[in-house]
Amino acid sequence: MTVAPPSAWHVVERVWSYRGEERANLMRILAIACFYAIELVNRHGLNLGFIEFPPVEGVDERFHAAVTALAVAWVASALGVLIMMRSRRFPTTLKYITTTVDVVLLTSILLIADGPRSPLVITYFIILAAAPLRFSAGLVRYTALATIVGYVVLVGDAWLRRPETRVPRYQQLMTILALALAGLALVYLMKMLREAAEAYAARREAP
Amino acid sequence: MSAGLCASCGSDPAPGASFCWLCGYPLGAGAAPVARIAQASPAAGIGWVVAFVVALFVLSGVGLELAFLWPGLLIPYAAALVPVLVVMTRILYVQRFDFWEGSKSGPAAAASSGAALAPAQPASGATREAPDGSSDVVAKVVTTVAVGMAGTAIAIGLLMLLAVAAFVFLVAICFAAILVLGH
Ligand SMILES: [Zn+2]
Repeated sequence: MTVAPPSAWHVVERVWSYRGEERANLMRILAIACFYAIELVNRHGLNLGFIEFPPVEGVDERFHAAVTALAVAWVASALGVLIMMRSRRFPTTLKYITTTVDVVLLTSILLIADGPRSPLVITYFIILAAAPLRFSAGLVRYTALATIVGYVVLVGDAWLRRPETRVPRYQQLMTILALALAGLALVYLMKMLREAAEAYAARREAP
Repeated sequence: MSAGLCASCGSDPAPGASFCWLCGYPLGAGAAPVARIAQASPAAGIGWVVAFVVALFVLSGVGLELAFLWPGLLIPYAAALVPVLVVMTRILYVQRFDFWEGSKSGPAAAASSGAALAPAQPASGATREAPDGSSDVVAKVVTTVAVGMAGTAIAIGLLMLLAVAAFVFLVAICFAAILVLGH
């Protein structure tokens, strides 16, 4: 039986996780740009003639200032990752750090926004979807857990501090379940990817 | 295969390193070459320049918002941003990522100029598609735009800091004049 030696897999994993981290960072910056543009439209309103976006009630100056500060922190961290990776610094822990920063900053934004009621909650799924780009089942598991913890923090905050942002219990359970199942599917994807690569290598070596 | 690239993953190693920064493979003579990971590199590494440009747009937009919200915060904002922009512009300008190094000479320079925008696009020397030039032009245009934008942003930031310095200086002079004349 011939399988690819682990060192070969290690090299592949490192190379592809580098490219994945790069792509995830690009996605991160683009996403912040788009979501901040939406926030600006909510704040100031936008009238294009054929379509109009009125300013959203409740987007006051304090909220806008806090979102602006968090967007700056997020872009700055993405630029930091960009500079770090481009100067050949790519520790294996980087993917865990960037994911943690993403979850913490998203949870912070949601804590000052509408909490579990906010449509931004779906962004947890975007963070989860970007995890497999780093070619690591461990990271996918970690991300699923981290996003669930982030959501539970929101639910707890709504329960203790801001009853107006509460959502029904079934909605909480469905969101947590969906995050867990999406994470499970992605962990399987990671495992199958590796098995497929090894099977392919074995087939190529076979006479 | 161009000299100086990692024999295992094809990335561009740091000068003087004994192990590959990306895959950990020992560099230099004596290392038995393993099967090289050949791969085409899509969009040969201008993604990060695009990322930089978009980030610059966001940061400029935030600067505009700050001008409305609290104009006073523009000063620390500029002070924090200018060093980051200077580093990024230097990277874009010298087309190398070890931007703190002086000008390189010898074979390393030739190797890195080939893989300049793509230190981790493995096998960029070996499996690059036939140079049709079009992607090179795009990369050049995007890079030039990015350098221009960053240069403008740096100039604005520096002018702002200069204006503050001038203001502080003026206040200090006035204060000193009052003290002197008051006696
Ligand atoms: Zn290597």
